[in-house]
Amino acid sequence: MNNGQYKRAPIQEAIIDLRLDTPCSYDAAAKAARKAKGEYFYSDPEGINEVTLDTLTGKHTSKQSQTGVKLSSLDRADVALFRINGFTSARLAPYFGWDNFCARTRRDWNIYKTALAHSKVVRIGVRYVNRIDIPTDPGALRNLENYLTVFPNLPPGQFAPMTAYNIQVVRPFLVDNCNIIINSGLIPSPLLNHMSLVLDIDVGCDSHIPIKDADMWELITRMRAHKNEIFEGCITDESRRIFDQ
Amino acid sequence: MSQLESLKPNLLYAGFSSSTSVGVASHALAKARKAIDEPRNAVIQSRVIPMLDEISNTPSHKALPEKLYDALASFKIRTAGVARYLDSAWRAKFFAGLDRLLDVEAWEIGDSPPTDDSFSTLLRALILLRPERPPGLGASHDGKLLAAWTVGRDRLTLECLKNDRVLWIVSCSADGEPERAAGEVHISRLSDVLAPYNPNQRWFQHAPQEARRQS
Repeated sequence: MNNGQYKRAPIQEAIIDLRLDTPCSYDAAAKAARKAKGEYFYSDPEGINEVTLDTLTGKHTSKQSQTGVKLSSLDRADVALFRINGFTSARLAPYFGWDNFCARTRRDWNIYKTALAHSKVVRIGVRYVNRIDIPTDPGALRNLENYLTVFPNLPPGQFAPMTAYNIQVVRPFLVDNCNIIINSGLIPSPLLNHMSLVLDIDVGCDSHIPIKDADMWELITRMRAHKNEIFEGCITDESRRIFDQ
Repeated sequence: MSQLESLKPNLLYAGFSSSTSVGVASHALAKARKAIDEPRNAVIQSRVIPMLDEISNTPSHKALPEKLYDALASFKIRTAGVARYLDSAWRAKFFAGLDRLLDVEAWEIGDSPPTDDSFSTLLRALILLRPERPPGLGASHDGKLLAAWTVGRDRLTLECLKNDRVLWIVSCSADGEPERAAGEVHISRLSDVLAPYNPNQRWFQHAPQEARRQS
């Protein structure tokens, strides 16, 4: 078992998401964002557009509403989303470890929580999006099982190399009342003469969430350990070799 | 982020939405615009395009400062996709160059900010060439990124086109005589065509003084 100390860590995005039972006001979310703004460089409003289109007459109506504020660091790698329905913290690559990410998330969550009159967390998500870059000509990837232990299995036949796949597995985890969602797929690589596999692991919990903050963060830390266990179980030594090259 | 954009349209995702959701929505709108642009869909163009402009946060007539802001964000997020291959000090210098290039004060109304296609080619070329020194960055009037390495009077310039193609221009002295050369090539051949000019020693390595500062 690796402790996440790969030379070229495959983590593309790490996310912690805390969702509230009832939405707060936009003003409360924006107030929290203003308090946290000093730690970030960019502040962008977030909103949704609802559109209704009558295909017969071509008439349409649209309604815009603000759903939160997104704060980002100068390099856009640290992200904090102060939304009306909850708080999300994300870190893009390069990833500097759990302690760093968790400490920032906890700091911002405390700001968010303080700005709300009432906050009960009804879902926690710990999600890591990983990418495995495999040196091969595009369209020539054979033997997916060399890199992942989770992959689509085809019956014997005269198949050319796989050009695309998407799988999703959703299963309850037998510890901490968690649910696991694994997404994997083949994607165009950002590197020349490579193909890339995505391994996206989301550990979620929506029951028996501790009310005390300290207990909730202990749970989040355990969820991250579950994620690590699943990740290591999903990859092969060949993938580990690629991460350490 | 790009990997999520590829996955999301095909998956019913039961988890929480991430910070990428805005990008995914923009991607969906861009795809919708592209489909409408097909000639066979001309009949609906007049009705739907105004609606997309209204609901999208990225209308074609967006103001230049907004376009520059979005381009800078997009380039930094794209760079995160290959961050594992970049030294952190190199990445910081490269980002400082992007910040300077896309500073709104340096642009005039009517200019076109660099495109994502051009940046994608630049990024992939840089991963292939692995220069110790980040390039100086510039932009053409029509949205192409320029990367340049200059040592004394010797200069290598890459104009990044779409689809991994670059226009390369070398200006250097050989045996005391000025020499210029240029060509267009796919980035997979770039190292080969530049090899006669020994770019690693001539342009890409830190000068001895600079190398000492780096260490």
